[in-house]
Amino acid sequence: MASSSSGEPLPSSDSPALKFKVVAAQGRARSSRMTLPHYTAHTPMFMPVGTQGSVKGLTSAQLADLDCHVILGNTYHLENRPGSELVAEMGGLHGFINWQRGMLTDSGGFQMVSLLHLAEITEEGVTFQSPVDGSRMLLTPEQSIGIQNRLGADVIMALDDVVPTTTNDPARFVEATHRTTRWIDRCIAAHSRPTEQNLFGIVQGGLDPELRRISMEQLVARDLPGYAIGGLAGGESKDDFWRVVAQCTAGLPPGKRRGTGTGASGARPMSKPRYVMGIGYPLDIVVCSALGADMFDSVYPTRTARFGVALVPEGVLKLKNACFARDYRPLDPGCSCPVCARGTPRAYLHNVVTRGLASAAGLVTLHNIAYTQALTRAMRQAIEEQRFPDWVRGYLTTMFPKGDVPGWVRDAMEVAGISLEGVATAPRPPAGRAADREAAEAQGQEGGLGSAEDKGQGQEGGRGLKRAAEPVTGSA
Amino acid sequence: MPNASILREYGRGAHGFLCLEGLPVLASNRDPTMYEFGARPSTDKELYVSIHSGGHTVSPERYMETVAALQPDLYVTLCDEVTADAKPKRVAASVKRTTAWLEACLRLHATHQQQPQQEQEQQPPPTGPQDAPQAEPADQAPASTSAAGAVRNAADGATASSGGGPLAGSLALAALAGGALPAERTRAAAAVGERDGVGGYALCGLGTGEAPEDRPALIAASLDALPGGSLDSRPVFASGLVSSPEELLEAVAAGVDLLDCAYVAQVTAGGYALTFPLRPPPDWQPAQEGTTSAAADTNGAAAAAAGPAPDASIGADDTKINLWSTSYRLDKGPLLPGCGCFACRHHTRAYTHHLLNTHEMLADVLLEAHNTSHTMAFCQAIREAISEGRLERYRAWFRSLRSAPLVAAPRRGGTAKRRAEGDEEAGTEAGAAAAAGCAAPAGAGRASGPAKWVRV
Repeated sequence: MASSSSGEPLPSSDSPALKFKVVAAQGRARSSRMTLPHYTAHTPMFMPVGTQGSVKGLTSAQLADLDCHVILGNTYHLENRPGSELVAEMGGLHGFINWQRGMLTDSGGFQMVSLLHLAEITEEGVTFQSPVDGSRMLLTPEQSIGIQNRLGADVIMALDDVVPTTTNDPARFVEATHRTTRWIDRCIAAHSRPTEQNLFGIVQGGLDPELRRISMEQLVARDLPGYAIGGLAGGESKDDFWRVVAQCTAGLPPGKRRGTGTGASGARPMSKPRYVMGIGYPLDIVVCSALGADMFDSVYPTRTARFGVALVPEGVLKLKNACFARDYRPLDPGCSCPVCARGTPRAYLHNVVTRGLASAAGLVTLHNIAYTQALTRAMRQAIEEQRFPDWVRGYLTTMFPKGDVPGWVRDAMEVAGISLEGVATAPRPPAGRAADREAAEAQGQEGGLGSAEDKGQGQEGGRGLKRAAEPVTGSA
Repeated sequence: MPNASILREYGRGAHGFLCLEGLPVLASNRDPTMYEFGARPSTDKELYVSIHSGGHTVSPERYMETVAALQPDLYVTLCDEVTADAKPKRVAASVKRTTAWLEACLRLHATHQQQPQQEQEQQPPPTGPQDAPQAEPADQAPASTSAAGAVRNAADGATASSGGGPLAGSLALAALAGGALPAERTRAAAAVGERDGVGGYALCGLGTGEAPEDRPALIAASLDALPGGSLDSRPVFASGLVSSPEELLEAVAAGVDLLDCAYVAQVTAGGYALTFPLRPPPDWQPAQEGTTSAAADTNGAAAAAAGPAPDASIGADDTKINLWSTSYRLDKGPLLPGCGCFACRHHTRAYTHHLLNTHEMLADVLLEAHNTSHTMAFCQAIREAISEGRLERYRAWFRSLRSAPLVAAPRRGGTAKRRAEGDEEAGTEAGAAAAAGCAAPAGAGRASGPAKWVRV
């Protein structure tokens, strides 16, 4: 299984609570095993978000059945309710929600962006006003790590100074980049369970390659078990987005060769997991994986499901569209999720979705998570069988049958070393505002940002297939 | 439900559309969990209903067209239901209409039985809003042992000999109206009688405000007016009349075979988990032999079976606990110790409390799984008591668990005798409430056999 196109030995790394081993690589893409205290996750992987200890509407048993390896919890929300002390008393997050596989908690930093109107950022930390009872809560790096130590996830995230990429203030990005480094040292010092939990650092630096380079250099020098690429999926253009991902996946280990210090695998080059935060669009997951990223998370598949949007290989099905009222096919004939396997007609889902019944949200959520997990599984298999470029071409052909692959995807694939000959046949679609708006919609994170407008692109066959992004409206 | 023409075009009825292959489907005339009675009067020609998409009028033709599109195993005929506080004149009008509509439904039933579906599709689609508001597929007793199962088998046999139309395998449950007036219920049932095409009966208009202790007499007024023997092979369905376990038990004792999910939906929506005991301890004895109102006497064994007294200050009574209560914040126990349902096997009271507190959908999913499972198990215990000829004793035990009985002692013994003969099956809680629907079987099924959850 272990194979790579170059024939070089595959990289790995050994941290006290995390073993990372690349089992196959092709181009920049890689398939890896990440052994965490609770589970050995296979990457590239998508991690569904269970903000308050529940992935909306699904039981932990369903998530395991759907082949989820790691799920997320949000530190900020969990500290508000029910509180990390209570969770610790209940046996940690794993025991509290009865999830035996991997868990990751964020630092609360993202809520600086999503709840910006409630947050005030200083060198000491972030002061939030609780949306539940209005009380003020100061979140410092030490407190964030303390909370995450009590929650007990396999992977915990450093508190970083997140600036929305749309901010028009270069000095703020410089400040945030260096503050993130100062904070990582405070996080490392505060981390009380380094042999049971893995502290990941988060690369900041906005869209400035030089700031990103500095941030990476400073974080990599601290030899953390894994690294995240932060500050993205916040409204930047797709063109900016993929370039930052490409720069960071190249710059993070093994981009900078360093001694591993582990005896047995001393001959192997070192590599650490790379986690692109807030990525959930299937196309984005594919592009980032092709560029060498390993982990992704987003509320997109679950949130969009609650709006009646189902993910399918061709793009998305907006089930509220009237064209589904008499469509008796399952969502995706090739899908093995319980909803599709039973042959649930789209017409039925249209009926319950348009009425806003909770059961509808549950069914589409189930399907969408099954879709993201099948997608990453297919990528892993293709990499391990050394046919990843073919797989990517097949994926893009299904999604863009007219050959109108967006320009940013073409550029990213070129950097990833994947030829799109015979796939991107149509003239390059214009970039610019439409593409940027699409990117803004990709933001579909906690705050329900983004516009509600539908660009109406990609109508296919009168069946309401939309390849374009799902508008994000409202909040969870 | 969607437009009947969509279901007709689909062609595989409610079983296919709702992915309920293999489960019996009952199309009920109203959804007790969601819809109020019509705010505007009906006419002799059409029923007025008020649903999610607004007010609609439903004629027997439109109603039966929808029923035919659903292709249910059982369905309730169109009924002009009135609430328990309706004036006698209104009740009389409702009985007259329901009887006339039964005639019309049975006539249309015969048409839909014979008519091949292709011909139906050629009919011009009826104008106006097409929702079929009154068709609410519900569920019913497990087929293996129930009388309903036997009836359905008979109906299956009839399929071969009939015209292969959409209603070829369906049983009509004649609506028995009459509000809260025993005389009107008797008159309505007598008018229905044993006419051809009636496969069973549906007690309509109950659970609409009448006192629970009056209900057995109202049910008796309906069922006793039917010709002798007509219940031997026909199931009795009642919708929405239960708001406590006693009421379910008493409805069964009074002759009801099939009940819908209203109670489960109601307790789940309130954040409750059902916790009442299902079986008497082996050594339980009635406190006073021959006294039907043993309830006030909490003898030792019954008190032990009931466990410690419920704490009303945290929203509990002796049938259920309220998971909204902060007293469960750190409770690592299951919703009900010893319960084998999905929720109890996998999750704690503390987690359920947290899910309610944070308004997570999963709270309803878990509570619904438990409450459905517990109600199913309750029905199983009642069926056992009936088949072993000890229903009276079971009822006495169940009443003894309450310090204040919600339902008074029985006033008649006829139906209980019928029960004891074992020729009828206890009713089964059907359907599921808000969060469940088709999602439930995906993972929240109960341990002992598939939960039968249906809701449209």
